[in-house]
Amino acid sequence: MTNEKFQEMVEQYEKLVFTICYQLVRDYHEAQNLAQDAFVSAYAHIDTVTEDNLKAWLARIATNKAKDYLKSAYNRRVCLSEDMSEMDLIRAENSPERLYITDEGTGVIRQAILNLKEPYQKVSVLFFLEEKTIEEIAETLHRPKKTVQTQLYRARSKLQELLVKEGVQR
Amino acid sequence: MKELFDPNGHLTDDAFGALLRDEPLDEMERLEISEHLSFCDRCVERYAALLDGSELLSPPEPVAPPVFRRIRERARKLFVNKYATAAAAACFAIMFWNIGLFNVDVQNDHGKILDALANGAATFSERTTQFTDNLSETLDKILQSLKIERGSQHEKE
Repeated sequence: MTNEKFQEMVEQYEKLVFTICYQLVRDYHEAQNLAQDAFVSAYAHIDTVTEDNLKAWLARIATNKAKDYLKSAYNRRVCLSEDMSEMDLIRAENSPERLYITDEGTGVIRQAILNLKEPYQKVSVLFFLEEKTIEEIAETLHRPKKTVQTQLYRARSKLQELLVKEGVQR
Repeated sequence: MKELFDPNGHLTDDAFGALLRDEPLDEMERLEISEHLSFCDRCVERYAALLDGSELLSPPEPVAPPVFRRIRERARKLFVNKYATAAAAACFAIMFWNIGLFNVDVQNDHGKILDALANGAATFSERTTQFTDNLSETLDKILQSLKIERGSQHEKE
């Protein structure tokens, strides 16, 4: 694609990309920066996309930029070392952490997992109850491994909160 | 409370509605939605299709000029890095040539190669030190003269 064509494309889709960034981050200034980032990334990979997929492809790049922004803002606020980081979760795949849940999982804990809402319920059932690995879960649910890890980390925090509320202690 | 995900893990109409109508969504909900859109073809295609002309917002400033500025800047950096690497490689080649490394019989002259490399490196380091010394001396002189000029200017005032 020539630079002229790319410029035409930017002008045609700048509203779409900006709108997606704004609707996800809810900040005009950040949305403007993220829209620029999205087009700079698009320029580097423009030869990998066809005309038919262009709109959805740009929408995907814009959502990725918004996701990265929201995630880094979230990570800055939440101290991952507080209780259990995503890395700990990976190490816990075959550890007593999971065995504890399995052993105690006949009652309240099992029910708490089943009561979780999407996008946390399926990953939690597969990980805590069916003892699947993160790779297997990613493959089964067609989600990236990193997303599965993140969702499991948050699911665990939600479960802890729920169980503390219900008076279940470790 | 809105259900943002259906039992299959896809975004609900409520989720798309909340995005399109700018309805309240907390940061975690928006993060969950964006995470899902970043890998789900079905939902991202649906979202892009829902965003037609009437739903779109105009950016406060045109996006194209800063994008092209950043693309040009990136291309310039790549170009400079490429040629800086080539120039460094050429410098080493000339240095090795000068110390006669390319004329040595590698099979029989291991000792000579090491000596030549050591001498070459020593010469190179000596010259570098000399060059940096000269450079800092010159800079010192310039700074000194500037100080004097500034001082005399101050005295005049």
